[in-house]
Amino acid sequence: MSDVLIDKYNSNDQSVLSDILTIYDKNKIECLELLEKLEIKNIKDAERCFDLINSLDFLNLEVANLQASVLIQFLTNQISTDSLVEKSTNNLQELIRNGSDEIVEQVFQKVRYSLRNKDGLKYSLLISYISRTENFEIIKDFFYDFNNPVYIFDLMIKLYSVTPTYRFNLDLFSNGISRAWQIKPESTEELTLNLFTGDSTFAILAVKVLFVNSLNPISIDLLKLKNKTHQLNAIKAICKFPHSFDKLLPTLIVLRRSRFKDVVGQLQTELSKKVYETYHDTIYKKIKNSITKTKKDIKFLEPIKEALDDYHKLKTFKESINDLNPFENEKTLIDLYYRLEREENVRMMNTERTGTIASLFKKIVIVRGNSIKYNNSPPTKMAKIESSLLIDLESYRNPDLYEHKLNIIE
Amino acid sequence: MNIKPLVVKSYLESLTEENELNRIFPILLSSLKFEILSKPTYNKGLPEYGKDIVAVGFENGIKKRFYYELKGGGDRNITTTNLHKKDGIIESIREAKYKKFATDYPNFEKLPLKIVIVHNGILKGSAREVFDGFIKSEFEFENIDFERFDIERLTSEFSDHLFGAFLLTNQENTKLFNKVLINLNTSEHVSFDYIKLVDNLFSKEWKGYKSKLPRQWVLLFETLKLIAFIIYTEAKEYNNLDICKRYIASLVIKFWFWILKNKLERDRKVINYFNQVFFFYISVLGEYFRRTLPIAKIFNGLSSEKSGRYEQIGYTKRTFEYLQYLCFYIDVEMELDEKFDAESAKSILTMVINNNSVSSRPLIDINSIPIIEIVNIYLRLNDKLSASNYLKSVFSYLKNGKKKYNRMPDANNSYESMIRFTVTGKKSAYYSETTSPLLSTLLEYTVILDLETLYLDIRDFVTEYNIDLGLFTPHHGVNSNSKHLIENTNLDLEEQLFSIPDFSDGYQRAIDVSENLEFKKFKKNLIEIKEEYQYEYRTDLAGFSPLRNLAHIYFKIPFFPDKWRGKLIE
Repeated sequence: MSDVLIDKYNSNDQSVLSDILTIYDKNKIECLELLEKLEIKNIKDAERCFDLINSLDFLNLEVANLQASVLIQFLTNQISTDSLVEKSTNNLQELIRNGSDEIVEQVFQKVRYSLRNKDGLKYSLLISYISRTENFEIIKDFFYDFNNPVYIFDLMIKLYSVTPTYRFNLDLFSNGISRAWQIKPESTEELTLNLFTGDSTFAILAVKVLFVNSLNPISIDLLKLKNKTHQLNAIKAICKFPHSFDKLLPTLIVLRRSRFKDVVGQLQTELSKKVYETYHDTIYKKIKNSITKTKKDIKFLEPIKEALDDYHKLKTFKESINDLNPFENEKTLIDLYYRLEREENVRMMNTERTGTIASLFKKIVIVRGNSIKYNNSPPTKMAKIESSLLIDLESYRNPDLYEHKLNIIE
Repeated sequence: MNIKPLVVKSYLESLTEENELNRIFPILLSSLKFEILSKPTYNKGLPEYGKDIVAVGFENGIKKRFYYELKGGGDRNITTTNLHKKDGIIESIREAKYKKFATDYPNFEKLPLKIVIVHNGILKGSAREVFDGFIKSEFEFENIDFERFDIERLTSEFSDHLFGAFLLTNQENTKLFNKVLINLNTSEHVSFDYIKLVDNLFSKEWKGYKSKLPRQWVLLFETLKLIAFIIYTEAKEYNNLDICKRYIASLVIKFWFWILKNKLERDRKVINYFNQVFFFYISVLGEYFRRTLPIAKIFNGLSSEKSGRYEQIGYTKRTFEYLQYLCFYIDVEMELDEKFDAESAKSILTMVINNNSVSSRPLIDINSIPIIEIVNIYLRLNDKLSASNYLKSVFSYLKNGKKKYNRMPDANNSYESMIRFTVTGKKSAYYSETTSPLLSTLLEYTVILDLETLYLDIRDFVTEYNIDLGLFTPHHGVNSNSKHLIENTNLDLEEQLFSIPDFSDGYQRAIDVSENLEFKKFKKNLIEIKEEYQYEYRTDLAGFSPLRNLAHIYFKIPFFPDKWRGKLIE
């Protein structure tokens, strides 16, 4: 009987709609089941149906589910007007806000899997869902079919703004953002670059985004930043970033061609600082190999070379006596430190820890099965070095201060 | 096999710097009871004297005056080259012979004269003929004796009169001393062998004396100087004065303990020897700081360029330890040096603190020693602002450490526990953080410095994290009503302080800031207990008050409350 009605309607006999709608009073579920299968042909019919189910059921799971299905139909139907789309969206929001826990889960799953190519709508429903359930885990795979990366960036910025620190966990976003890089590299690059244009707290987030899902950062073209301040922001954030400076260098070094003199100067200053204070020869060589032999580039390198020479002078000076040499005067503690670290590396699981900032990087490494190598570290300490992660020495000197500085806005 | 002369000889041969021989030779003379009228340090670089050491003493029962010419370092072997060169052997001997020595020693000029050339090397064959000829022509017809002490002779003199007489009298001490020297750079601590050796030396019972110090004690004191000196020389060989900084500190402390125990702190003869060891130590510290301060004052200077991730703990540890010895050194200078320059001391201290950001990042509770010392030095030098700023910075590190990393300075004072926590995120059973003497001290300083806001911050922090406040207070105070609880009745307070690392004859003084105790009320409570612990230290009466700081540093005993409560003003 019901199949007949559906066939009739779908084969253009729209008069049967009244018959279908009259079932509603006698048997809601049967009626909704029919509506779910109808291919509504015109806006008038659609409005009639919408009115019928305007009173949402927040308690009966079956009814609510069917109501949601019909609403989703409206959202995807060609004939829907903006006003109907808006009304239907509002109703779905209502279900997600006010339904029982079960209803919320099921309705949202429906939204998640049946609503295609409606990134904006899906996103607004996601926000309602998260504020109702606080189930942030949903984010992880939610964006799998999104075409526009703007939404995932928006959500990431929202969450990051709550606690804008380096420790912000990008895991929830890594799948979505990786995908965005694959399918929409240009707009993703633009969105990432945009992070350098706002408040400087977001600049660190931008660099984190480059490392999404990989220890090899995605490269972006910083020269696309048109504003001096934004380019300076990018330099600061990349230089502040605690690890893999060597891998970020190719991205950074193009700014030596910036049309702003201050930017080039700042880049030289920051690179000199990195060479002098932190990475020494390792980075100097890398810088040297990343630039050309043109007069301009050779000139660019000069102050950085000076910084390296100064570092060597400093090192020789500091090592001219053993009075402060930990390998002479703190041997037992050094041995203990590295022995425990080796043990820990073997044992460490992917668990949250509240250690120092340095322990965070280690987690990255271990999860990916690598070892850490610090450019001047004692060579015997790591049994096997498969790939290396360059870490800011400064973060070991005074980890507390380092993390504090990492998070402050300049 | 008789190992002794070999040890002595190789030691003497190892003195390759010119002034090393100059510093050790007088020790031999004084053990021979020679009266030293002039030492090389007084007149080096003043060629008009022409003699390194002038002494009066007995030889074969005859009282003589001795002029010693010391040739060490590059000149320790006599060769054809250094015989003739300017300021060489020949010139020195001539000057010793002809230039007068001005002294008010009675009848000095009438005493028979002996000139001795001392060199810790050999007379090379090629130079022998010329040398012998020269000596013959200079001394044959004169009423002047001449003698040459080469390495062999020096070895036998030192073995017989110094090492042999005391240090290496028995097989055990010889062995210990050998082991000490061999293992000098193998650990960051003071070795057990060394402690055993010094204990052995002091094990003889002191029986007092009438007018002159018994020879065996004189020799003991000389031996102590010699040990200090040998350790210093060896440490220099390793290019690491940190070694002698610890070893000699240990010696000074043991020596002072022995003095206290035998109630000799007013005995001028004994104190005279102690002074020599103590000031030798201070001179070693001076050299240590001359070497290290140029490094420590650079930005991040005390950090190591090559110890990697360990620096998370190491840099902080190194910095606090550096600062506590620097403060000790400043204290000594302030106390004992008339030319003490307060401004430059302050600027050095401030530079080290400012350029090493971890100087206000305590990781273990006993970091309270440098913290208190720094604040006290600033206060003594009338710089209340720096004192307050430093204190605030220490607290902000403490608070940040607890909030962000759940880390409080370990009350059991173990860097090992801190390393374990840093690496594994787990706190060992020995890690103790529910009581914080350091915070208690900081709180009391807020009253001294009148920092109400800081007081409130600390109070609220302590309440939020449920931290117990308590201060270790010895039972021995003059106003104490717990003297009956003293367990170690053999040793008084200071004797314990100078000999017992886990000094524990005292009580934990609880400090209460509960129920939002107001600053005024806290101040009032504190002033009420201001005199709860007071003590008259024998060490201070003897004029060595900074020594107590050294004992606190060396044994990691927290300062007693009188260290700061005296600064409370009502």
